[in-house]
Parts: sequence; C-alpha cells; structure tokens
Amino acid sequence: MLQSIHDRAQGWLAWIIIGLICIPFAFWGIQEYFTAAEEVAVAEVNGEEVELDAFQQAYQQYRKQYQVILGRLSEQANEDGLKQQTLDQMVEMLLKKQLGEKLGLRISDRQVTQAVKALPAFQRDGKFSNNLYERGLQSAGMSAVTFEEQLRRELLTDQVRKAVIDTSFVTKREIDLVAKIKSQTRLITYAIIAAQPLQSSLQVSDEEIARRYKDEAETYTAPEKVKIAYLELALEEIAKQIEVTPDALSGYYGEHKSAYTLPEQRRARHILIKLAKEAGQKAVEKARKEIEALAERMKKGESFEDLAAKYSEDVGSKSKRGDLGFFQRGVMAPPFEEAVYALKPGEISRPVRTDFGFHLIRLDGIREGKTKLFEEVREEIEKNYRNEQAERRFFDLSEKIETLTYEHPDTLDVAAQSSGLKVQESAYFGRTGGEGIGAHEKVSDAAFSPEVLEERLNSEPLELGDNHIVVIRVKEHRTAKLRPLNEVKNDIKTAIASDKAKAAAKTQGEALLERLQSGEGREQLASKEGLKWAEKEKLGRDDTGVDNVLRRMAFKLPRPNGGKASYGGGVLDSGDYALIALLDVDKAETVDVERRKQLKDELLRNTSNQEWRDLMSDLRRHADIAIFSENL
Amino acid sequence: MDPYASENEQIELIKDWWKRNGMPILGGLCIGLGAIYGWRAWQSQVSTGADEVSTAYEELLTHVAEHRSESAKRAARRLVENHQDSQYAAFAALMLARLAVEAGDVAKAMDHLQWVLDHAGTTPLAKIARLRFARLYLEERKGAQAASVLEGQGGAADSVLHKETEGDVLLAQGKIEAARKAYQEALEAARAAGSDPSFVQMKLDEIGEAEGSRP
Repeated sequence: MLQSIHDRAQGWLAWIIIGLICIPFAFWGIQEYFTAAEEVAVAEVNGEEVELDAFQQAYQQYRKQYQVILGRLSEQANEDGLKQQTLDQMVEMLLKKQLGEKLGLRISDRQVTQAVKALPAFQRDGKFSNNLYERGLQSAGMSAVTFEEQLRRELLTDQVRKAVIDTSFVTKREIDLVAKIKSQTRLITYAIIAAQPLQSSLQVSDEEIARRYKDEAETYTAPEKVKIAYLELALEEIAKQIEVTPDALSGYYGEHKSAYTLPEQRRARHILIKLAKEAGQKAVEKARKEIEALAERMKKGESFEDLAAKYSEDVGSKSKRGDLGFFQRGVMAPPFEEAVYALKPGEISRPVRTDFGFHLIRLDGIREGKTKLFEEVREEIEKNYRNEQAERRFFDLSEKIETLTYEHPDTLDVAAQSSGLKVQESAYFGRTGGEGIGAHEKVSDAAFSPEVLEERLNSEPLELGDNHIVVIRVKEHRTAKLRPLNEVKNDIKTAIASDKAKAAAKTQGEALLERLQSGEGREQLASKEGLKWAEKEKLGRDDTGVDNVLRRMAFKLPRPNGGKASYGGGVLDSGDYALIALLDVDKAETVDVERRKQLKDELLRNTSNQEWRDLMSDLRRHADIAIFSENL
Repeated sequence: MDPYASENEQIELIKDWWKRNGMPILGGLCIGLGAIYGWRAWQSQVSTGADEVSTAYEELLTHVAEHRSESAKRAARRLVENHQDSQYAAFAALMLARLAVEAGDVAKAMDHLQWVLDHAGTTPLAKIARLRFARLYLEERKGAQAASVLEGQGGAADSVLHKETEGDVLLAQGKIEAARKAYQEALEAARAAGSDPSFVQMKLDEIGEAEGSRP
C-alpha cells in the first residue's frame, strides 16, 4: 500500500496535498497550537464563553467601584448579588460586542492608539505619558495587549450604542404633548382625617405587645458593640508637653537666625542694550559704543531716567524709567549684582556685561538688613521649637509603639509603660462607628476585623491624620442582644397604637369617600362629620408645597365630568388619610421657551435610553445564554 | 531503502527521487505561499477599508456632538453614498434622519429612515428605524399608516417604546380605551425592565385609569 501512495505521490496528488497542508498556516499562526489548557467558563453567550479568569478580574474591579461608592456599607454588600450583577454586565458586554461584529464594525489600531492617548489617567500636564501608561497597566496587572483589546471592544460597543443613542430624536408633537400635560394645573380641595387623635381611644393588649415583640425581634435588638482600649500618639499633644527653657529657646534662635533675618536690599535703576550671549565681535563693539554714548550723554547732564525711558531695551523696567525696585543678593545676574553692591548711592556704574547685554546701573537706595529681635519673634520661636522637638519624639515613640504592640500582641501595657502614654478607653460603638475615637472609620473597621475582634490581637498602628496614630485592642464585646421586654414595652405599645390609629383613619376615610362618590354633598358631609376642606388652586405637577402623595392623587383623578367633581382618597406618608376632590383642570397656558427646551432634553434622554434598553432586551431574548453558576 | 547500498548509491537514489518529485514539491510550496500571501493581502485590504469607514463615522459623531450640523450632514451623506454596503452607512442615514427632524423636515427624515429599512436588513437597527418611522407618520398625522407600521413590527411588540408609541397612535385616533391598555402594558414592561416609567405614567394619568380599576 505504501508503494502505491509513493507512486501516486509523484504526480498531481503531491501538489494538492502540499498545497492543502500550507493553507492552515495562512489562517492560524503557529501560536494557536501552543495555547494553554482548557479554560473554565462561567457563561456562554451564543457560543462564546465568558472565562472564569476574566470574570474574576471584572468582579474585583466592580467590587472596588462598589466600595468606593458605598464606602463602609460594602461589608454588608451581598457577594452573590454582586457576582450576579458582574456576570450580567459581562453577558451584556458580549452581546453588544457580538452585535458590533455582526454589523461588520471595526476599530482600527490607530483609533485604539488615539483612545489610549486620550485617557486622562495616562496624561501628565495634558500630554500622554508612556511612563504613566506602563505604570498604570502594571498596577492593574494587565498587559498592553489585553488592555488595548479591552479598549477596542469598548470602542466597538460604543459605536453601536451611539448609533442608537446619538441618532435618537423627539418630534415637535411629542414634546407638545408632554409639555401640555406637564404644565397643566389643577384645582383641588382636600380634607385630612388625622390618625394621631384617634390613638387615645384605642386599647393595646399585652398579648398584642408580646406578639409584636416576637414578630419584630430585630427592631428590638441592640446591635453588636465593642469597647476598645487604645494608645493614641499625636504630635500636637507631644508638642504641648515639650519642656521649654529660655536657654533652649535662645539656642534655637541662634541656630535659626537666618530664618528671622531680613537681608540687606538695594534699589537700582538700569538701562539695557540687548546683546546675545554668543554675539560676535562686531555686534559687541556696536553695543558697547551705544552704551558708552549713553554714558557720555549722562555725563553731559541728561537724566538717567529719561534716557532709560527712551533707550533701554529691557521691556519690564523701561516703562518705569529703568527702576528695578528693591532686591536682595541672589536675585540678579552675578556681574550685575557685583556692580550694584560696589556702588555708592547715586553713583552710576561703568557699562556691565551680562547674559542679557550691556547695562548702565545707578544705585538709588539701600535698605539695611535687619535681624528680628528675640523678643519680637519669641512666640514663633517657641512654636517652631516645640514642633521640632516633638517631631523627633513622635517618630521615636511611634516606632517604639509599633514594635512593642506587635511583639506583645496581647496587651498595650508594655508599649504604654515604655512610651509614657496612658491606655485610654472608648465608649461602646457599633460596626458603623460611634462617638469619640469610634467616630474614625479606620478605628471601627479595625475594631471589627477578625484579628482584633476574634483573635483579640492589637491592631496595627492606624493613621488618623498627619502625625497622629492609634493602636487599638478590643476590651469588651457585646454581641447583638434582644432587649428585655419591659425595657421596650412602651415603645411597642406606642407603635401598635399608632398602627391601629392609622388603620382606623383609613377605614373612616374610605367610608366617607364612598359617601362622597355616591352623591353626598361635600359641605354637608363636612358639617356632619367635622371635616375641614382646604382648597388648593393651580396645583402643578412639581409643586412642593403640597404633600407628595396628595399631589400624585390629584393628577391621577379623572377629569371632573359636567361640573361634577371627581373624588379620591388615600393614605399619606404620615399615616393620615386624605380625601380629595378634583374640581377643575386648567389647560396650560403657553409653555415658556426655556421650560420647553428642558422638557425636550429630558424627553430625548428618556427616549434614547429606552430605545437602547429595548434593543438590549431584544438581543438578550434572541440570544443563546447559558450560565454555569457552579463555576462562579 | 536498501540497507546494503553504498553511500554513493544512496546519494544517487536521493538525486533520482528529487528529479522525479522536486517539481511537484516546489509547485506545492508555491501554491501554499501564494495562498497565504493572497489571503493576508485580501484581509488587510478589507480591514483598511473598514477602518477608514469606522474613522469617518467617528468624525461624523464628533461633528454632531459639537453642533456642526452642516459638516455633519456632509460627512453623513458621504458615508451613505460611498459605503452603501457597510452598516456605517445605515448609522449615517439614521443620523441624517435625526438632523432632518431637528431641522423640521419630517418628510426628508422619513426618506432617510426608508433608506435604512432598505439597507439594514433584519438587524436590530432596522427595528429601531421602523419604530422611528411610525413616530414620524404620527407626526404627520397619519395615524393609520403609523399603526400599520407598528403592526408589522412583530418581534419588538414587547418593547417599552413600541407599546408607548402604540398608545400615542391610539390616543391620536381617539381610541381612549385601547390607548389606556397600551400605556398600561408599556408601564408594566418599563417596570419589568427597570426603565424610568415617569413619562408613560404621566400619559396614563392624563387619560385617567380605567373606571374598573378604581377602588
């Protein structure tokens, strides 16, 4: 058989076989043959898998965002719910991507590059920084290829989204319709049946109290709390305790005299003839001649000021007739400075060359240097001295405390004795913090961490601010506990009575409503039942002057029919019952331009979002989605 | 191969073999390499074209975002004319429709949407275009046509906006009872989808809830 293959391989068959073998390489690079072993999938969308790795990465990111938004509540956040949401988002992302691909959309490398460069996170002073980019990727634990692929995907789905959202419109009539409804006002009258007054006539039995105590145990449970012992070290406190002697202060003053000294300052005026640093011989000569000519004219009596105003090429001082004001050493170019300090007041220098060109300088005044007297700055010195000393102490002590509280994790006493601090105690506080030291989020978080709460170890030093640390340990722990019945009995009784009163108000109100609806007159009913009607004219949809529930009812009622009011009623948030009569509906007068524009934007936002959401749910409905929750 | 053959004989054999098979092998390699090269070239041709269109579309979006409607129109028209087979052209036509509506030219907007319907096939975008088409009929006070467009939209019948538009059409035709039902369905769909129901709710409130549902 081999022989027959061999024979045939000589002819056309060989050509074809070799050609066929080559083709796969055109489609798949060699690396495809070396990809890692099978990935675990958490979901499959139209045959495309969401891999566990990617899911976990997204989940961590999502969690982080969630923590930023909700802060400390994150502890209680439901992990399963978050996972579900993450997965949901990933599925949606895939659906969008698949749609983009199906529509034949593409994002070019150049577009991706541009997008990377436009990300503010990678910009320094408004410019893209490769350094920042690399560092950012590193801290996210992502390779550039992965990141850019993700970005490409986002850009792609963004194109689809914009194809819907950005092309969305609302028509004139749609806006009119909404504007008309939104600006309409209504005339109502209403009466309140208050719950509170009914309370006194109600009885609450012990059985009822016992039942509620049992049913709503959670409400009557005191939350878990801790009391902590802590060592607190603050620079401010240390500074107060630093011993201050007159000798120490004057020593400090001596050492830091320069900080309390104003140096000598001189005021000068100059004329500049500009000359480039590397100017050639000819140019130098020309400039020198010019400046010497000016010096000559001064000798003949022309004023320095006038010549400066006319000929100086220093833009800044020219308008001030050459005046440079007072300055101290170290400000001006060295040759300039030397010349100034060699002059006597009123004297004019010879031409001086600096990097800027040639100058003629006149010294106009000297302000003597002055050292502030010790007495003048005593307070400042003391404060600085204290801080300097305290800082040293602070760093020594904080190191000591850190070491000793770590080496003796079961007590703060060793660190306290060695550092001379006192162990303090907090009041009880819960997971969400409390008063005093417990008000610091870092403290309450640490107090309820497993190491501190369950293992009863010292916490790490917690930084509460600049140069302010604290180490804590739990002193007492009160678990959540049902409060004894007689402690809460009154609360329960009041709660039940209030509930009953609300129910009574509702029953009463509903009966009255029925009478109104069956034709009994408003006023008649009022005088019989002791109701008081209150009228509200021109009630608008967004009026905040009226109870929310009442207003919503007012706009839900059918229009009054042939002069007959339409009636409604309902329980307000306060628990009172409101009867309401709609008397008239005012058509909107003209809607003003600004308001209309606002409405248009709002409506457009609503419509475009709705179009997009509808599209997404349509995609979802027609997709083949499998979730493997066992892999989550 | 004959194990007793001398080295020379073996070389001879190989030479002989190459004489007979050399050409086919080289030929095969040529075919293979040609296929690789051809495929790659074709792919890059296709993708450069697509990249260009994608960039042009981005530019269009930028024009719109920055309120340069004339430039936007020109860019969109170029996309529609030069890349008829690309979905980017459909996006551009959708944009032209929006720009026409904003300029108050409903008839022209409908022409653009019709173009999308003719070219977008059965993609989800076609559904969106059709719903917009119906809304524009309503704008032109052609309730019957609007209704028939909506009816042809079987697959999206449970979309919130579809139901709401249905309500708008029925209301315009004076069919209050049916409009109420459509709005109620839209409201339910919106709640189920977690969308903002406030506008639908408002429209529903305005015509009043059905008498039967009153306590």
